[in-house]
Amino acid sequence: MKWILPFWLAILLSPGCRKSTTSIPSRTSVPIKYASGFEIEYLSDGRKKVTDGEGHELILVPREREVAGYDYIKVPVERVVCLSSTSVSCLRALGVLGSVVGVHLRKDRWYIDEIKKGMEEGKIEVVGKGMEEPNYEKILALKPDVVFTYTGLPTAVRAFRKFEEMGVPVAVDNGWLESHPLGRLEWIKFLAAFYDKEDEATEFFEKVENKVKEIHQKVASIEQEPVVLWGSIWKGKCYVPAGGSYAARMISIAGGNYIFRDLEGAGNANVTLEEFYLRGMEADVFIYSFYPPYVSSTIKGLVEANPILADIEPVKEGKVYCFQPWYYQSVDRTDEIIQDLAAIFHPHLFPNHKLRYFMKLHRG
Amino acid sequence: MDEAVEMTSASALLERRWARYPLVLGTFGVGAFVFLVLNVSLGSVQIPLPDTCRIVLGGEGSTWVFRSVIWKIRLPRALAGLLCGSSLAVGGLLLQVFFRNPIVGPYILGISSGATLTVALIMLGGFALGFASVHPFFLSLAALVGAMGVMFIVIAVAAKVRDMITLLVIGLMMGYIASALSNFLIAFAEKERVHKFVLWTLGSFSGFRWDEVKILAIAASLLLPASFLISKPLNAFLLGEEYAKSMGVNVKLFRLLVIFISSALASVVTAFAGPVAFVGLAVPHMARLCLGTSDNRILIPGTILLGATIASFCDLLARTLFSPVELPISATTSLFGAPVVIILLLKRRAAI
Repeated sequence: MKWILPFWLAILLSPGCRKSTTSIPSRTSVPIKYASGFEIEYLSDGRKKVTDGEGHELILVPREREVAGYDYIKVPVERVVCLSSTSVSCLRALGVLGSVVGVHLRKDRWYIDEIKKGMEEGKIEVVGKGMEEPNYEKILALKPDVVFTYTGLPTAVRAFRKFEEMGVPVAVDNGWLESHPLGRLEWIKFLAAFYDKEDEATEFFEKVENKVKEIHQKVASIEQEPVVLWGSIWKGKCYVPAGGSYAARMISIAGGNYIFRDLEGAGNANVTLEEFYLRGMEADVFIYSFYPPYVSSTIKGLVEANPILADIEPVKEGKVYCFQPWYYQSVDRTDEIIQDLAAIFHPHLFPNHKLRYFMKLHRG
Repeated sequence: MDEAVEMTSASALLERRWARYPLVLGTFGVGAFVFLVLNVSLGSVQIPLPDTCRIVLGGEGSTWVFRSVIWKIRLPRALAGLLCGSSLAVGGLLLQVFFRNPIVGPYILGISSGATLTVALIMLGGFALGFASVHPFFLSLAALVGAMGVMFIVIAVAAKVRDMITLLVIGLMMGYIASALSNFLIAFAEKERVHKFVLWTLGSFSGFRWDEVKILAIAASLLLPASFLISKPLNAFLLGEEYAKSMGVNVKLFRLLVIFISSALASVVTAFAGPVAFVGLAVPHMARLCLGTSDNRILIPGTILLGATIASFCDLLARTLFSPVELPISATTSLFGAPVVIILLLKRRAAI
């Protein structure tokens, strides 16, 4: 029982201990079904241990409590810097965009109104430029309670190290690496832990999950699944999602038959032009994984840039779609994205459906 | 050793060498042909060999898809690989001899940086206003303009400066300026555009079209024979500019000619394939070792054939090693080329 003594002392000596013992609801766990990159553990007196996307353990301590002896993050967080659009869209669902003080993209690149407005009012600063290293000085000056970032790209890893060195609290949201679309969304629970909003997150998540299941059931009875080509092509280089990627999973949930599902791995893969061409030949639908202006918004323009595409079936049939620019800022709308896909694959099941996250390319 | 014996052994050696040249050149030629055939018949899509033969000879395959895979994808790419390899290798050889420097490649005078800069201007700098997406042919034209632009500046400078080291340093500086400007543009560009731009700078033979192959073939059929025609005065250069002058070579004119031919070769390749690393630097060394001579009358045809062979071989590796995943061409050329150059340089030191 020796170990318990310093523990008691710490609690007795901490000034906030008396008033908070009753106010913090004791929680034991949060269900995590799809995501594999994070963990949340509930410790005594309202403290939490969150394991982030890099395997780092962060201790979250209620704001009114002062603890000495180790680094921790005060929650609920009030000033947050977000370096990935997927995190921002999850924060939208939690209704906590008011806590955002810094983001990584310019104003004209945002499709989330609160962020645009925050920038106009001077409440949100631009602290970076897309995937490049952020502006460390600005971030330091903003004194954030936590920086939500991601790793996996060399610049992001460098930024992460720099934050650690500067003593800026940083939490890695690697939702983008999850191989299930709902796994990507489930990181909302990770973010919610920083706001004490786990209940809201779980409720929101279950709502979306049920919606996705509903859509899947609707298309599951259909025998004839359309063959789906998904990817991008530029100067003879073709990029497609691998068979274990979230995009491949999303296609199958929406009742499509992904043409490169045998490709091993989880991220994106570069396939040869002839493979793309040969398989594309048999496809019914082609989803171009970019958004205008980085892809032509007409089939004519697409074929002009890549004449080889003229032969493939979806191009001939005019069944080519691309993302809307806000696609990557819509993780919280995963159900609607999947519904869009299901409507593309099975239009007769979704009469009068208006696409929201994809757009059909005109013939031109 | 007795002087007479040395003389006879030297001439015997020379004779043996002359007997060796057709054999080595023949091997290179066969190599290029073999890899051409392999590049057309192998790929991630399995096409039976009889089908491939029938299709290449103008017949019908068992399905029209095979026919279009071979005619629209593999053949233009395979031919482009041959032509690009030859052009870059000869471009590299000319400059190596001209500067009497073994670590010089066809891009040393800033050709690729010039091309990269104009491509960056189009792709990143928003100079394509009014275009929804940049047409690939427009991009190639821009690259050609950039490469040739740098070439003409270097030629203008070459007419003024006396010694060639100055010229080399000026070429290098031109390259630095152009890459610095490209990096400026990258700093202000959006990540989607940067991604495509980076893909361009990696170089690729993929997606070559017949009209591009035709332009490449026309340029190569003019410039490669031209490089052979200047092999004799180039030999005089091996012993220095002064020596060449005393042999009656118009050094000033000749300088411009060498820079023009090598840079034009590199420019055309870069315009369509992007900067392909290492072929231009490594192949001349390989040819020199295999042939055992510095005589450019032998070396130039050797480099043409070996360049075609090596580029085809590297493209074959890039396409088939991890099929259907494709590797960037500059990665395979460098991975294969760099060890060869190291071995050659070590061997050369031992020989000296």
